[in-house]
Amino acid sequence: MRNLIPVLLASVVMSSTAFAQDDGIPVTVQVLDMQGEPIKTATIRHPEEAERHRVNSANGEWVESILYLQDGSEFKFTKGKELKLEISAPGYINQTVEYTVRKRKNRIPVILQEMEMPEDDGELDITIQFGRDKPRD
Amino acid sequence: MKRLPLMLALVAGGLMSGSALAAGWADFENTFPVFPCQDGWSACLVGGSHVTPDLRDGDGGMKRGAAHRLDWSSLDATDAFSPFVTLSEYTGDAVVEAEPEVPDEPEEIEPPPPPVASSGNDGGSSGSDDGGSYSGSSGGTTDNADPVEPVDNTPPPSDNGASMVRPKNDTTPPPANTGGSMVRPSNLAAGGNTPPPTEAPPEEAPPEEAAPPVAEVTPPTTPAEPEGCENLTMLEPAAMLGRLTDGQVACLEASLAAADSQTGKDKLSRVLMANAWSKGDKKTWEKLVKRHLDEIDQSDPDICYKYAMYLSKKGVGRSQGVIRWADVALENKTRWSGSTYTSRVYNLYKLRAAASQQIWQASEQKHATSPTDETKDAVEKSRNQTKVYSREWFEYAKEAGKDTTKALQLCISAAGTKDYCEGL
Repeated sequence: MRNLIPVLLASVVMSSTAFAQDDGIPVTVQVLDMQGEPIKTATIRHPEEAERHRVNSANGEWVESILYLQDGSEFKFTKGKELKLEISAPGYINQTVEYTVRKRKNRIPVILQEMEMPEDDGELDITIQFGRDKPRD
Repeated sequence: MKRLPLMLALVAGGLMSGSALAAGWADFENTFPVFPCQDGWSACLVGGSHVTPDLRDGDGGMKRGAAHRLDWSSLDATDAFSPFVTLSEYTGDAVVEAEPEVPDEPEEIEPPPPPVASSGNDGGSSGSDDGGSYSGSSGGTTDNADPVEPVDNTPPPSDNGASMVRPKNDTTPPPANTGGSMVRPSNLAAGGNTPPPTEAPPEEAPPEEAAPPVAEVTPPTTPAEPEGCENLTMLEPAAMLGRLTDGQVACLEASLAAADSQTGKDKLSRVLMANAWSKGDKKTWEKLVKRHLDEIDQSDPDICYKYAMYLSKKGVGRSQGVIRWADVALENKTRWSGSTYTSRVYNLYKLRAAASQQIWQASEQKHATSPTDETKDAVEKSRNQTKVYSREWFEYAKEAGKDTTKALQLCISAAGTKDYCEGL
């Protein structure tokens, strides 16, 4: 009995490791504005991916360990893999981040800059012409 | 032969009598005008002093006629010296305008008795008075001490404290009063048997226009405002200043409601819109523009453009309106040209893209708060709209040689890829 417990423990640990390896290493992206507040409308997308992933509206975070690309292949986050992500949010300037996946503690803070629309030309005071009969030719 | 001297005497006598008849008082009217005032009135104010048909004190204490233009002894110009050649135009407004600027009650000149003049001469001085090429009107603008200086053609100030008195039985529109107190005998105004002026008036002389007869001697205390709203051209200046009265606005609204043609409605509506805008009543202006565009006419890109610009400053709640009216304005953009075309078309593309971005942002916020299939669809729809509009903005900015940075940023933000925006 005493010999059985370590064997069982070892098998459980090994099996969980095997499962984790299959799902990839989780990577967390947190999208913040210039004030450090989470942007709850932000989306994250891999360039070869069709779908956009929304961040958690409460904390602005997105956590994933695998992506499914347009061609049907899987993109698993494994140690040393180069990761490219496009982060966007309405009203903010897009940002693309490149990251090398580590064994653990994969947390990427992304700060988006607010998009400023160009100033109006101040043409609100244009004069509307009064109605006039057009002269006959 | 004895008859010859007799016949000659008769012929000579006949000729002489003819000459005598020809040399009537009227023939010397230019030299000796009947009325002292230069523009044909029998009394007026010149330089603050009354000029009436009475005798005046001349230089050296000698009396002189009121109509004398020069003093006999000094040859200086008298009050009656005139640079003016034509009848000044009478309108009640001139008196009304002068009223508030006069601290005291203006002195009225009692109508003098009709001047005793030989028949056929009364009033004959009007329009043919001496004064040569000078023009203007009475009212104290001339300086008696320096009468030969030409007077500016600009209308004289109306602050000479004059009031106007006219005989009540005179219904003929009098000439304009630009200043002085005036009294005009009825027979003069009525024309009587006055011979027409023998000299043509100078070119700059204003034509006489029929003015409404003045019934009251006392001028009205408030400026007369045009009644009704039939003549829109007359109302336009006031509308441009936002000074249409409530009555005029009501009249215009009633006319608009009753107007049959869209053209008529268009004209009325434009006056109302101009008034509301100039008045600063933006709320009313917005309602009027909306009505104009929804019910009357959408073909004027200026109105659509201005309305879209206005709505763009009202937040996301009006963004759909911005897109709608920017679209309509762009449909008629060919009515602009040159730099106006370039800047306005650029602004319209920008407005539309920015408005769609606001909608997209609001949709995302809503979806993030309480996600449903409906909110998800709304997000996708608004994002695609932003993508399309921002690309159009980018493309026009590129064509027009304007800065493309913001347009491209917005496009990439919505599309997620630069390739779409640059058309690759």
